Amino acid sequence: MFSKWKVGSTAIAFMLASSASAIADVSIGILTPSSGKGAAYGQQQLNAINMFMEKYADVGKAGKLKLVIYDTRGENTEAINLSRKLMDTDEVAAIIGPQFSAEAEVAFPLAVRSETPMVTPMAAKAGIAAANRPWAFRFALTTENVYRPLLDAWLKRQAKGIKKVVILMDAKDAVSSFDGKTVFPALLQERGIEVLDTVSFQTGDIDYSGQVTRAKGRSPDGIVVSALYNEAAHAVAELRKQGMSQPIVAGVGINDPRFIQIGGAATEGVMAASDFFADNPEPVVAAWVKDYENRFKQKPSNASGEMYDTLYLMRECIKSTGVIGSDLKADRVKLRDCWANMKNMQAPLMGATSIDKNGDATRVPTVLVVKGTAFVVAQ
Amino acid sequence: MWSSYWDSVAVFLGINVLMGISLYVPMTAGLISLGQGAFMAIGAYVSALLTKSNVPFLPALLAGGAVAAAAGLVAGAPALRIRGIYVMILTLGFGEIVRVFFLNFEPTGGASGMGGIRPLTELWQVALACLIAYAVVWRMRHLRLGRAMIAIHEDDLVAEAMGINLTRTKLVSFSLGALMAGVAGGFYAHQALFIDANQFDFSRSAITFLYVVLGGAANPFGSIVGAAIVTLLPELLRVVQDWRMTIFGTMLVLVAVWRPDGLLPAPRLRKS
Amino acid sequence: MLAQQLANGVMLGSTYALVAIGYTLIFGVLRLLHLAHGEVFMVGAFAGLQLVLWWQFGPMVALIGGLISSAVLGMLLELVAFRPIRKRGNSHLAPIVSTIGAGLVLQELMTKLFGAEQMPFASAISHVVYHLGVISVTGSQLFILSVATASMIALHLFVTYTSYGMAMRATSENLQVAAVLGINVNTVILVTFGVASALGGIAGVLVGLNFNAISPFMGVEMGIKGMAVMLIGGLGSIYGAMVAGLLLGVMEVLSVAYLESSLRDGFAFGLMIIILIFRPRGLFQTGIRAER
Repeated sequence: MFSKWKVGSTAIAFMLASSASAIADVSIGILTPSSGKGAAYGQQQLNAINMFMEKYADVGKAGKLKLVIYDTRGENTEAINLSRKLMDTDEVAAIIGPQFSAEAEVAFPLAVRSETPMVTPMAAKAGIAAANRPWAFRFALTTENVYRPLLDAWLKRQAKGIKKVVILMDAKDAVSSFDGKTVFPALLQERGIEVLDTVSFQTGDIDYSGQVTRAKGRSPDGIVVSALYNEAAHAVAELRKQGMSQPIVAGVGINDPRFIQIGGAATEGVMAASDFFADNPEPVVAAWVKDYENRFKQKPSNASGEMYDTLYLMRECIKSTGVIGSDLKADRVKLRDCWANMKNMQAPLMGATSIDKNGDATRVPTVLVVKGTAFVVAQ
Repeated sequence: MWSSYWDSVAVFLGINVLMGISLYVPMTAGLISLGQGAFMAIGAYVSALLTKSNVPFLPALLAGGAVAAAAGLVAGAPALRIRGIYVMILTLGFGEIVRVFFLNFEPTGGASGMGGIRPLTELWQVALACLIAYAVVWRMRHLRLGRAMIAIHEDDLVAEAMGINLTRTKLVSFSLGALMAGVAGGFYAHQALFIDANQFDFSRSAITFLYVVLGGAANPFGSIVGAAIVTLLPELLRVVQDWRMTIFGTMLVLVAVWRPDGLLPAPRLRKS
Repeated sequence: MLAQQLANGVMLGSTYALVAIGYTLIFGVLRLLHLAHGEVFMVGAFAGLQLVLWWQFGPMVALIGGLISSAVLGMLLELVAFRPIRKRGNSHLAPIVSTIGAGLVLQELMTKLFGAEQMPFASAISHVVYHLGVISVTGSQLFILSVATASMIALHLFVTYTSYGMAMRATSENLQVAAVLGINVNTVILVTFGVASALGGIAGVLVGLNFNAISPFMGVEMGIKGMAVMLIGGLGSIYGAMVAGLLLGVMEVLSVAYLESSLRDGFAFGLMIIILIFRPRGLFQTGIRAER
């Protein structure tokens, strides 16, 4: 626990140290919820920033990278005020953040108004970057692009064939409910699968017995769970408890090691897809994860991986466009164009990334299945 | 130096002050609402829907306030036969019901919220609205209605014996407060440009309550002081980022214990 | 199916009942809302968790640990957030502010200690499933039911037959008269907070055991619902809180089964408003007029 506190101040120390050194620094703003409800994500991201700055603080001709980090507490009002502060007072060349979809919704229009590129590493809500062209970008994959290969892999694995499913979704979480109501049904229909029922619960629910009993009554061949890791873990545990042994496929919300920790043995065999998972055997990722675990005594999650890669790509853009911090307006345009035209730029943890015309990232996700106590690549 | 950052902070402060006044009004009639967030939500959604259909800002704001006021009449009705604690829990419940409604109401976005709202709010508008609200409150104290409210606050039975129509007075005060909260909601929607049900939940109502009680529930300027402290303190405490809320919470306890009636004292009653 | 839903509802309802009883006990003696009671519930859950994690104790020890921690915390809150206000003129609004503040501090402290994440609350009894006819229940659900029932019976005995319990009831009836009769009102209030908070702590551990995850923010929603249940049952009525809690639990589970779950939270308050309109003093009417 203490290391978390140290990290926060270390990150700030880096910021101060690096600002003291070079004359014309390139400033990048970061908005992360390091306290309040989203603090778990924020802490993870501060860790990732720490690791990144140790290796990559130097940006060649531009001197040292200067990060201005603010805590939004996960609140929309803070996201608004702090975005303005970053763009107009601190005069950053670009902003990485905010993290929550609601925060991004309120911050993106400000980026357009102040003509500053804004890239959110985590926010997964569809359409928000598209509504704020050309200055807003999303690094996380659109869920549609994740679920297409996932569903194909899931269906291929089933000996009995799946014709009818029930969707269990979190109606209070914007992304989960959008996936549950729109994205999944459309993709399922494409594959000729009937959705018997869509049963909902809410973020923070502690009791799923009613929902599962209702799903059980429908006798589906398979189950789709669209929720965040905690709620999904409970729902899956309840499903197994009530004797439902159908195969389960889940949405991006469960991509967190805690899904397995909380759900226990019930999560065995659940399939999901992600571009980042902590048990990726690939050498670069595995080394990074090991480093993270040694320092911070916990497994990294999507939040930290996404922050790290976004930082990396931002730095690549700074170097490749020759931004040196001398002309703010021009710098912002250069960085914007670098992101807008991104084609197969290699992000260390998640692979080749491109940005499409909507400002959303495209990558090839990995299809995963829960085996034992970890996610492994589905064969 | 006045930057867009401080401008934004000031706008939200103004909105919070307006919310504080919206609670102060029913409280002077003895109705303690823990559900002002609901009226704010109604005003926000209604005005946003209207401006999206190219209705000008002022009529949209007022329409939002009007619908909120109507909701205030509906919510106020059960509050008439009960008082004190009951009203608090009733309004809390009303707040939750409205939140659940907007969470599910697809035409305004449901859980995904409503985005793309036109950026129409400006600082001078919010400041003006606060001034108008204060003027209304000030005049009220001297008009029959205001004095009726204070009388009810003191003692229901005596007030009724004196000929004051309890029902009407309570309803009017509740509705007026709801209208102000609705207008505040309209300002919020056109500043944040995206709203969802979570913005108007119980913590919104609880914080509004804090503005008034912290500043002094018996004093009309109490809500300015309360709103200012609660809004600006987290900004000033940014240097101790990690401990902000702990310090804030502790301060609340200290103030409540040391000055139970709020920071500003009740103004001395003047002869009519 | 219906039998299963009813069984689920009773399990859920008994946790609501325990929390609501806490609110109603405090309201009974002080006529005040204790807005940090949800956090007392939360702290009990974490205390139980620690015992399970650190020393591998079983659920009974976790329960006792949660009970004691919450009771102590509750009494501390009385001394810090309520008593000084009583001494200074008994404002009825100030305790709301102080308890909101105390609640915030508790949330933040727990976040500092344990992180803001949900923590798993593993226990051996959670996973055993019993099949009783058409109903299936887990070991932990049975545990919840038996502990909740035992607690409510214990409370009933305490309130009816012990001298402290009778003093509590007397103070509830009329604080001034009780004082005149020689009852040490301050002590009774302190004991009331202890008992109320202990029940909240038990509920916290039960919820943690059965639903397998706790977070520093789990007290917020439970807190609001607890107040609604208290009102439905009748302010100050212990038996009202019990019945109303069970009623709400069953209603919520049924609403999820046959309607949209996102409407579920609306039921608690919808029911509450209906009660307020038609039977304002609640299901079990006590003599409390809820005047200032």
